[in-house]
Amino acid sequence: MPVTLAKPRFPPSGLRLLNWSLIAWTTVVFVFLYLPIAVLVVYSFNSSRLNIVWEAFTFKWYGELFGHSPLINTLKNSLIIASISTVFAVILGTTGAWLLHRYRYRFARAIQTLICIPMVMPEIVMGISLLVFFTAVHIDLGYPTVVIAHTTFCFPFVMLAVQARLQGLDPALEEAALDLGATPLKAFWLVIVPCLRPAVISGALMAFTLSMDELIISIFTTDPSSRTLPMQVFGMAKIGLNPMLNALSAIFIVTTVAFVLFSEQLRRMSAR
Amino acid sequence: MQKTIRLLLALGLAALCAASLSAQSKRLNFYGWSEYIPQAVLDGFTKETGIRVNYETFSSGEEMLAKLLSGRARYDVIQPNDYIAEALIKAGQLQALDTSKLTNLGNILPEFTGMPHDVENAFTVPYMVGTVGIVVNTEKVTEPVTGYADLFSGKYAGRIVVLDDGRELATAALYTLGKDLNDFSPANLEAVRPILAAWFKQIKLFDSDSPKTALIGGDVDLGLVWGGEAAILWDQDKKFQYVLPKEGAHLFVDLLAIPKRARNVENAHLFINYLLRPDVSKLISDSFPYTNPNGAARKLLTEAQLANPASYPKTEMKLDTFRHLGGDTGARIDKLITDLKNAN
Repeated sequence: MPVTLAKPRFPPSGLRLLNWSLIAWTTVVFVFLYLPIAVLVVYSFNSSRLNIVWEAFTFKWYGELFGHSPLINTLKNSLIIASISTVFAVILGTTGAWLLHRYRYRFARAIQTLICIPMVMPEIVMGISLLVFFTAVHIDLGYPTVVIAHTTFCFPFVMLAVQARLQGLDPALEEAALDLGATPLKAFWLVIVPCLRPAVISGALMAFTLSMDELIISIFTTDPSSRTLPMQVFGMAKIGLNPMLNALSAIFIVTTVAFVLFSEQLRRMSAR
Repeated sequence: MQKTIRLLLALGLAALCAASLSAQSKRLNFYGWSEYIPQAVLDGFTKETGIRVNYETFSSGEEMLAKLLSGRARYDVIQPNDYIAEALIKAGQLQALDTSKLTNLGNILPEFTGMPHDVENAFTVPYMVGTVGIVVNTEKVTEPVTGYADLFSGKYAGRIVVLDDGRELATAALYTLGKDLNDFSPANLEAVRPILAAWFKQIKLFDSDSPKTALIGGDVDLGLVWGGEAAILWDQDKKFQYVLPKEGAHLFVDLLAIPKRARNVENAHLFINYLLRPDVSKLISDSFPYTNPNGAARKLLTEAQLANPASYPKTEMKLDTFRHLGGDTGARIDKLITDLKNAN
């Protein structure tokens, strides 16, 4: 009897149809999501000022971008605010995740929910409530208020990333450290934190990206000296579309994608 | 790891402190209209004095008023328009100007001093003056358009852009009723409602920031716009004709003022004095061709600029300015406009 070769990998016809439909649908969704962005990036190389019809290829808008002082100033502001917010978010997120994981609190569930609310709350609600709060407490708007606002909605992301990592952590590690004579604080610092490092970095990258992109909350909590880049772009876009904005968006997209990919890679490494 | 984190924290705190404390005295927080001051003027000020200008923008007087009164942001120089400034002065929100520091104040033409919103010129300095009128793309629109009746006759439905300014639109409707431009009694407001409702059905676009964009692009053929926008259109192509509506038109005066809670009052006076210089004022006129109240600057303008019918309209009509409406009239106008916009 001849030995029949194994059937080809393709599933039987009915499922094949389903497969192709899925591929088609996914393609449509991806095109819908990414075609506008692709057009945006392509048109950042268009030499026409009105940017409606393709004229010629040029890099000049990227050059003009770096000479435009309001954009450079607000970029500097955004970077400073994002960096400081990320640092605070990491501190709050990591320690918060550890405390919730390690110790038992009566209202742990409630605390967990409350902390995750800024992640889903509409930004305009957060922005207005923060403005009302700062007015009530007589704090002037400026760098401190923006950093407080950004830290508030960034640290839940760090906390969730670290909590996921903590689930897979061997409790014996901390016990062993305590057995060997470390105080709980030292045990946390010297043993747990190094294990959490990938999750912390992944959360930090997420926080940084979110802070850089934030517009609505920034509008309500900044003053002119701490104006952020998204606010400047929004102001410029209201007046009329400018190919410089295309160039800026292209740079932003590339940087954000790189950050997210890196963060995702780290998360995968840490979940092992 | 411990040391690096400590270092990062220290750097972070240092950056925070440095950013908020340093250059406090070398900064100026300027809150003005979007697209009303050229970047070259701001850069020139920074180059001369070393003071960095942080420029924040708003699109309507009411937006500025709300942010100034309710927020904790401290602006050094603001750009209110006439009736908003009147409200601010009445509410005690503006500082009296130190005229000894404003050496260029004499450049302002006498017809723009002693205006009703600030009779003694104690709190405000005129920045730019203008009108609101109808601009027509005469290539697409061949019949003459002389006023609101022609504009909203129904022939041009879906081809009109108007300012996104409730008070301007309500005043336009008041003019068609023949009423005084500041008479917003409840009866008048109710009379205005059906007129505006009919108009809104014909309007394609509301835009206060840059109505000229839609006109240049050909999205719309007519507009009720700021005079300066119409002037820019005229410079670009003479097919864009500007006309003051025959039912009535008003003058608006945009001003510079210093809020009560300003931090850098010294820098604010330097900035205002700088803007009153004829060469600087000319630069502003070059980019934003409104009616320049600065007599010394007008001498530096070209013939073509002074002949622009949208910048310096020649008319026998009496052009009044808006006055502050007390009580909740402003809120009622706003509610009316919002209701009508939502109804469509």
